[in-house]
Amino acid sequence: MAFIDVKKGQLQCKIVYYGTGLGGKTTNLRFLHKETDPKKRGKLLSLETETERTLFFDFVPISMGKIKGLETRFSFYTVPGQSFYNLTRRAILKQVDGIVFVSDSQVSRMEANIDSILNLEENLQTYGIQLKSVPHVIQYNKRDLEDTVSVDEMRNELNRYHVPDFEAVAIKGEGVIEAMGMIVKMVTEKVVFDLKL
Amino acid sequence: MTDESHKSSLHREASELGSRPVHSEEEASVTAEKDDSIGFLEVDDHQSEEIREIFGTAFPQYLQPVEEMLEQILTGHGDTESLEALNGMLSSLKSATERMGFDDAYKLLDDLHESISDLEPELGAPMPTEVREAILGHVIAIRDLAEQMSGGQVGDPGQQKTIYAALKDKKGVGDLVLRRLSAAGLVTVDQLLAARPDEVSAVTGLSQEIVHKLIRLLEADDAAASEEVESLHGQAAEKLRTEVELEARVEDLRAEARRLRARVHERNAELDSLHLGLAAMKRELDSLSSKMAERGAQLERIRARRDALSRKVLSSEEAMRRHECRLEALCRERRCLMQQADGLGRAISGLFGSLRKMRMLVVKGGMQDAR
Ligand SMILES: Nc1nc2c(ncn2[C@@H]2O[C@H](COP(=O)(O)OP(=O)(O)O)[C@@H](O)[C@H]2O)c(=O)[nH]1
Ligand SMILES: [Mg+2]
Repeated sequence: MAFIDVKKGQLQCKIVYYGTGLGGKTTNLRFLHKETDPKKRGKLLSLETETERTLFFDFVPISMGKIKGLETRFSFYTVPGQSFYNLTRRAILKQVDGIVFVSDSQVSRMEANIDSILNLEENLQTYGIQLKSVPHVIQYNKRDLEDTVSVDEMRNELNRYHVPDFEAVAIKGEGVIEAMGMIVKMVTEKVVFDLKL
Repeated sequence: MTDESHKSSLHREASELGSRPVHSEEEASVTAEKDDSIGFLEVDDHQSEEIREIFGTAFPQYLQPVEEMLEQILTGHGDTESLEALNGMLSSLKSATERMGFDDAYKLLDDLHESISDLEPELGAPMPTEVREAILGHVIAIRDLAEQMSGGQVGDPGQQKTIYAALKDKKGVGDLVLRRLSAAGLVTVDQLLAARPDEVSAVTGLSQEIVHKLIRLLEADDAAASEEVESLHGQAAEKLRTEVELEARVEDLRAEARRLRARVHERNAELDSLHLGLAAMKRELDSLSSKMAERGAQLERIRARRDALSRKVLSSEEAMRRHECRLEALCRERRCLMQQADGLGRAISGLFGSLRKMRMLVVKGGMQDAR
């Protein structure tokens, strides 16, 4: 849940990039970090293994301007994709405001995508939340590769609540800012409404 | 500023991010070096607390494979690969805790890492007791810290009072209660006060009565509530004892299972080596019988050749006999021819004698004529 620090005049929101391992979550965050004004971003904290697989999470704070005189700060997290780190994924989802579900378009990863979105729903349910009531967008990543599932088919399998979705090639930055911009917009609108700002 | 203008400024921000690099060319060249560490926005208290909490909750999960690998190595079932995996895992955990600034966790992990750094030559055999104890000591220290981080010490107690800190000395609040709360992810006082009692009860398994009293205890230093909790807890104490006993029993069983597993492991190794021996013998047998078959075939070939040769000898002998007969016949023929030739010779010399006599007669006749 968004959090207001009245003393500091800050509004804090939390966005989580969720999805199957090696789908491109860290790549999304790296690109976001690279493209943001250094004055408005924090360091990118990447807690990864020696083989560059996300171990705990990636984290970057970005300042997004003001709402009602409150400085909005977004915390962007990724989760580790490996199935056995579910506890970490769940811990990261705690009090989430918005989710970017990064799916891998390769045919061979389709089952893993479905597993991952089911796992997302399950983990949210442990906090008594339903995916359909959390602002989220879907990203169909790795569109540059051969042997990909058609967007329609992916949408059919993964976008069950008809939320905004984006084709992406995260390594080239395509579709990264678009997805981020949309989730920031959706979260901000919800926060403004919920907190009656 | 109106809501709309706030929002639109934010959206502008977001879409600016999308449409072009926000920073100048100069800055772009700095970030082009892909240095994650460049960023001037400080992580604030709220964010660092959140990170600590995530880490605290997740950490024990990362220790589990470490402990499993260690157990393998300490019981002599590890190899260079498992040691490497363990080293890798510890390096990753160390670098993660270092980057998050969790010095305490980093220090303990580093101690453990050091203590296993020179185990390689001793792999494959159970480690000596003192080595095991030293290493397990580090593991226990880490596990304790992890438990502490996930079970109540998360966050700066000055800013976010933890349930553990608030209740640990309260009469009637035992380990069971604290453990159940932390296991359900309830760490800070604020969390518990914000949660609905029936939900707390559902996720922790504590009765709603206890939850209500706990909340009263947290809201005010309520002595009466404390007493009530104590009496309620008394009723739960029996259950707790059984639970503790069961847990101990489960521990025992686990240890027994580990021992059994180790024995199965040994037996498996023995069986494996037996299998290997058997396989080698079978291979030898196979090669011997194939050699024997070869020899048989060779023998067969030799026999056939011998038979052929003796057949040939027989037929040669016969041919010889035939030739001898022929020779004999020829000899006879020659002798007979020679006799005939002799006869003819004699006849010829007789004829020559007569011829000479006739010539004499002719000569004599001629001389008479001449006279
Ligand atoms: N071809 C291609 N590769 C990608 C794309 N996005 C990410 N990758 C690669 O996929 C791998 C995994 O990406 P990563 O961001 O670490 O995945 P994560 O596990 O979801 O964090 C890396 O080697 C990336 O370079 C993409 O759009 N196209
Ligand atoms: Mg990653």
